[in-house]
Amino acid sequence: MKEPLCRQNSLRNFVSAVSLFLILLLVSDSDLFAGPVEGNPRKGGTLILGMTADPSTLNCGIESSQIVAMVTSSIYSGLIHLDEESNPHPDLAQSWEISPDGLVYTFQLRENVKWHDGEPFTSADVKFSFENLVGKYNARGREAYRNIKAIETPGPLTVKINLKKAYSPFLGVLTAHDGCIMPKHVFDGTDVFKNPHNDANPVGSGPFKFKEWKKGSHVTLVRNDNYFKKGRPFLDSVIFRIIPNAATRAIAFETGEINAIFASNSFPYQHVDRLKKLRNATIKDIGSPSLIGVHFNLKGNPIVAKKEVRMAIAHAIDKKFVVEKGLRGVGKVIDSVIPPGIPWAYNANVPKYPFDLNKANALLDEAGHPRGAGGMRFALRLAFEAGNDNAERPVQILREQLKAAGIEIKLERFERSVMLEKVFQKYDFDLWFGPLTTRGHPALGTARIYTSSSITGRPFTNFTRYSNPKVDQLFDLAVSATKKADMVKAYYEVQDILLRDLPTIPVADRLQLNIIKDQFKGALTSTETYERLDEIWWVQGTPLKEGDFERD
Amino acid sequence: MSIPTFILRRLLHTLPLFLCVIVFNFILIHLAPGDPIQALVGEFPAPESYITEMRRAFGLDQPLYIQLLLYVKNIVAGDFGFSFYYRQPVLTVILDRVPATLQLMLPALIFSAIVGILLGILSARQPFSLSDNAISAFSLFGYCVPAFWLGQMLMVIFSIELSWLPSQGTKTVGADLEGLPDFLDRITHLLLPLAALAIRHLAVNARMMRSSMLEVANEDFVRVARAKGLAEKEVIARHMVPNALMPVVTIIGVDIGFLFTGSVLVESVFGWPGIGRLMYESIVKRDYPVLMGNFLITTAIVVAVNLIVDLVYVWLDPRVKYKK
Repeated sequence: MKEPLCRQNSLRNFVSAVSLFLILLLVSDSDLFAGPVEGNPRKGGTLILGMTADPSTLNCGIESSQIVAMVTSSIYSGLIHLDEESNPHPDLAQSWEISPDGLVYTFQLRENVKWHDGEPFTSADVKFSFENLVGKYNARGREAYRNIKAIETPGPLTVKINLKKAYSPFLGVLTAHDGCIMPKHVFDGTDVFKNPHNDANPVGSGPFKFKEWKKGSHVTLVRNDNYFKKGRPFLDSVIFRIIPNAATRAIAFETGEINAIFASNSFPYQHVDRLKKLRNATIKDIGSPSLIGVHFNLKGNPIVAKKEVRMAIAHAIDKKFVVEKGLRGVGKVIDSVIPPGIPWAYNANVPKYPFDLNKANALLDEAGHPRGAGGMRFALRLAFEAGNDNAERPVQILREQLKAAGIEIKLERFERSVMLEKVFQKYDFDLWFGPLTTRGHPALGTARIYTSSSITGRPFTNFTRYSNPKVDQLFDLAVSATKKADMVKAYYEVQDILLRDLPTIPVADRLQLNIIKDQFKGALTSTETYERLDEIWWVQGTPLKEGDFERD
Repeated sequence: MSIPTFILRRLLHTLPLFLCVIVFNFILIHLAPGDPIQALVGEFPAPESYITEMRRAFGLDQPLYIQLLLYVKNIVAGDFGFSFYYRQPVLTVILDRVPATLQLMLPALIFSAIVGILLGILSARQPFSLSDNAISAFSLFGYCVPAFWLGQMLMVIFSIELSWLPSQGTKTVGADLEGLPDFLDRITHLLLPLAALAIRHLAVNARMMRSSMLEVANEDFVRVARAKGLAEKEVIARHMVPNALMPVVTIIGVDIGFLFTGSVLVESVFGWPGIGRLMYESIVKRDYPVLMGNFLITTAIVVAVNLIVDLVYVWLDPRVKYKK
């Protein structure tokens, strides 16, 4: 009796299983079962990004901090954009020519580009943006474009920018971050700081249009159907969700309330170990290079003014340990002040200071600082920014490592604005540890820290007060070089000199991490400080055929 | 004294208070090191000419006492200034955030008052019983636990482990809900921050109500009420509770100030777009006008609530009269 019943049950189970499979097959969207989707992008979907704070404005002509650029670089466009090796690609400019002396840049603009309000985009907008907005009111722009002599507009789609002297990184500052192009018809003749389009209905030419900004909560952008790149953007909308606390930003990512966290200031580095374990997400280094290191106040404490002492400190630091334990492995050990993240300029053969306590001790003895009572030689102050995860843990390790060489380190933890004043403006420090963004070109990020003309008392300029005419000359040579080989040669030599003089001990190139759920594809790596959201697509969107969209 | 005269007198008394708040906070903020222009510029060496222009535009190039006098003059004229960071009128920036804070604070205040008072009554009915001890232990925990830590723990349990409740914001962004689904969505977003913010006040109210009830229990009128044969429920509800409420009402008035302080942390943890978070952000960004405006509006709300508390006294206890 039992066997037939068993057979009956098996048959019933089999029929049920087949029916269930068929029903699922009929009712399901085949995409749900498609597994990992690669290949052509798909259209549709909403990406929700986490970020630390509200942007201060949506006018990138007057403000271009990273937090502003994160949003505005999807609303506005630049003349070009950069890839992961800092190579320029067309954005609003279709093509460009550089005169042999490096003084004249001629851009051919794209045809039929419309602003979000339907007005046509012309060369007058480019001229107006550089002369009346980014080059005038924007802190970064004013620095980047002070070398512009004149801007001519020979035709509605041609722009000629004449420089006072050759400036090799010029193309690099024409992205949507540094040089966002703004509509003349919206800003001409208005009070730029009080223009209503600054925080509501900004009129851009970029892939997404503004929909809503609920301060303290979120900014919503929707697809610009008239975007000048065919078939782009792929997403229907993008929401920037403001979550100030790093721990809760990580939690919101885990719970799925946000799909991605981009850019260095939004990624919750303290939680990287936990986030790495998530199975449905990908973390990657976006390759925006930076320099984390110990910087000396060369004109302050006479002890650190001695080169032997700086060399001894360099030998006393176990960089590998600092990176692995202090930076949670989120960084690469570096030996030069130009990080390997700028591969064409990085000199790997600079003088090196390997971890060697005996050598450190010998150098300190020679410098006239024998160990005193308690085994200590002297005390130094080490300043760093409170709450900066790239400094908080490493400085604790540095204190212990330098203690072994007989150097007592007194940690000075300053809130950011206090640190800017104490360290960069008043030079009231012995050592400073922290990250400095080097950007994609040494002329933009490295020269400001080491040239004599950059000893200005302004934040993030030459705060070690290092001054060497040869280094100044080499930086000048590099910035005005018209051949890349000459530029590279100059930067190689600069690094060699800087590592001999040692105003800075380079410790690490911080990895700039992005995390995104696997249901979103196409996030790029780039040396730009923002992510290009028109590249990103959702795996459950409608498939696009080749030719339906413009490839970059 | 009639109630309108009393209110008017109290309002006049607040004027010197506001002046003190302005002067004290102004000095305090400017004593702290840090430069708003640098905070605005970020990690970038802004040209000197740019910084000078911005200082002039924000009025920071004037001596401090002139800045203060100008500020007071503008406040009298109803002008709260212009935000350095948002480049918008301060009042617009703050009023934009007030609804979210009230959406969190009022339920927290009501919840902590009602539940706290009920727990206090329950506790006092049988002192040192199991239920009393349990409530006391809970109150001690609630009083000691830091709101930001509790917030994160609640998030780990209810958002990550159980996936019952959202962890961030006032509503699901991008969902475009309306009507009842929108209301329910907002309620689910409110629960965790409400619990994190209310627990301390709930604990204080419970403890205060308990001791107040025990004090009242020994009064003659309670003995008389029992002697004339009233049921215990009646004795508690009609005789003990109204009399025991007085100190609790005072505490609830004071709570408003503490709720603002607590909301700075809770709003930051739960990404709640209220004025507590705005206050924290404006400290970091050295956005002096927003910070000052925030202090002033917070002061105004605390003063208003305390005035209401004073009026509630009369309703609760007819013996209280507004003396000249």
